Amino acid sequence: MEQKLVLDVKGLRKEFKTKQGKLVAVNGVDFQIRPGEIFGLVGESGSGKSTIGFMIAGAYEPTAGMISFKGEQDLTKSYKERSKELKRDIQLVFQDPGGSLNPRKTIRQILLAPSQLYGDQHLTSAERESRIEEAMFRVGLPLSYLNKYSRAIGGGEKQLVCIARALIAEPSFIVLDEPTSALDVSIQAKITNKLSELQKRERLSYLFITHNLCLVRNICDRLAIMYLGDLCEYTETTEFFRNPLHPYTQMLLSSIPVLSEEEERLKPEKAKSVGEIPNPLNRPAGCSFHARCPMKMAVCTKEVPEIREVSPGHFASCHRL
Amino acid sequence: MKKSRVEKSFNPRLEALKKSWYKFSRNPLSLLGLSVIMVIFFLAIFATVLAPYPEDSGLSVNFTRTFQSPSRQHLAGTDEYGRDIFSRMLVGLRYSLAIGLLVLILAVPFGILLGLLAGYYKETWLETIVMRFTELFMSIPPLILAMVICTMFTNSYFFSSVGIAVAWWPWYTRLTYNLVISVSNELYVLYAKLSGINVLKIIFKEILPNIYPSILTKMSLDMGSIIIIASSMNFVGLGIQPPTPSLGAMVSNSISYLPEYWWLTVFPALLVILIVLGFNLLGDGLNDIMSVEGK
Repeated sequence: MEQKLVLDVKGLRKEFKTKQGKLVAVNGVDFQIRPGEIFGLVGESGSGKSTIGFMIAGAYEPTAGMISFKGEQDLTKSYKERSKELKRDIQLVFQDPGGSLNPRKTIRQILLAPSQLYGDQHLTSAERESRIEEAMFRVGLPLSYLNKYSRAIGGGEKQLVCIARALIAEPSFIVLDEPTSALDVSIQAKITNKLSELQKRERLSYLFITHNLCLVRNICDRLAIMYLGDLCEYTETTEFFRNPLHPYTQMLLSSIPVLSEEEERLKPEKAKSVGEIPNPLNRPAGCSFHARCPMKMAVCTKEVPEIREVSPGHFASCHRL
Repeated sequence: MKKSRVEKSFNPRLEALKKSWYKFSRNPLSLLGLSVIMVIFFLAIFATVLAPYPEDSGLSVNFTRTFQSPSRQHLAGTDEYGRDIFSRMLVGLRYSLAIGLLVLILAVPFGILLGLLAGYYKETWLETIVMRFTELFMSIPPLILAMVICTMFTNSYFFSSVGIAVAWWPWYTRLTYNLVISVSNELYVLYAKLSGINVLKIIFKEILPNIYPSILTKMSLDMGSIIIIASSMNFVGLGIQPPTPSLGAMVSNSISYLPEYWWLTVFPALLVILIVLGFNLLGDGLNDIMSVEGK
């Protein structure tokens, strides 16, 4: 490999203790993110994709497994034990832009925090101000917004402020936890374009967590599909849409709403969506997908399929393959 | 890069304040509450100047004019010692408000601080200790606790306030604790933690600004309750000692003169009601503007 991986995740596992018993949110996941890449992590709600994002950002400590950042730093520690430099280098943008901005602060105050925290301590207030203005410029927000309270601006603009706040820290890696799913469709496109533009210009790497496959197709270089805490398929985006291997991903692709017959023909015709994601408190034995799988075999209810490289760079976990 | 400098003189806080005032002023009841409170504070501050017979607030006896019914000379009549009730009410009002403020000053910062700590460090031993300690104090009725403390120390104006404050802080701890827990679930607090902002800054810059409106509202509502408790304590002879007037004692001492000499009881009692009503209306008004503004 020519360059160090930004993120290397191996055997990542997270269990939560609940009153109803042990909840396995993430059940042994491996994937890698290369430098300058937008990596999509796709799954239904409850599939554990956000849990992975939160572990990378340090909100939770994994139960088992390893996450290494740029080949050296260990990300299995929670935020309490991470160095300031590491916290600066990995930024997080949440799904709910309204909730992630303090409603009693102005945009200026919100953007000042990371520059005071990570920036040079000797900066004058005028220099800080110019950094804030520059960040607003980078995300394309008017400077007049600096004096507004975060509660007074729209959802898409709030999300841009969140992105600006992440950019001020000058990270190399940003975890985007469903950054557009709380927004209107028209604004979604704007934010997505802004994100991919920034990624190219500033040579960032993203972990893009989403449930929206169309979005993934547009901006991600590679992606992984999650189901009930397991990774079922993991490959290049183009390869994925051309040749989906796992029955679940085929089901997902066939569930994308289409407008024309032309698009309809592109879809895999096999599986139609049946059933719902099982309760993670009560995981099925064997393959986690067998209850909904149209191609179930006897072995599926007993043995957990290993994820393996079906063709070069294309991984899937299914007994059929 | 093209930049247009933003006017820094523009003050966002002032703008927000203006908006809040607009919202507040649209509710006639809130305005009524505010005016009542302002008038009451004005009367209390200038009590000795405004009182027609300021000497009557002390040891003065004038048997030539006992039990006079309300008239132009004595707006609220006179009592069994011939003292002007209106003058005594004004001075008593001053003491009542002072007790209310003193209790809040003693109880609120302490209560908030413990609530912030217990709420921020939830699911730790600190939370357990603080909250069980708080509940211990809450299990004792405030009037009883205040009376015990007042009798343990000197029976004075100051210690009656301390007594009420000791009974009062747990409610602020409880309120703050619950508010902190709900605000701590907000993503901006999680973000602050993840980005490495220090604990004190998170508590005082991220959490506290989002919970103080509820606390402020409770303070305003509590003024009324504290004044009633202080009056109840006066009623049983604790707190301010005669001949210094206090609204509670004025009511309790003259109950035996009802119904012939009704003005001895009714006017001080009405004033207590007015204070409580004023603070409640003000509190409700504050609650309205702040809770809507927070969303």
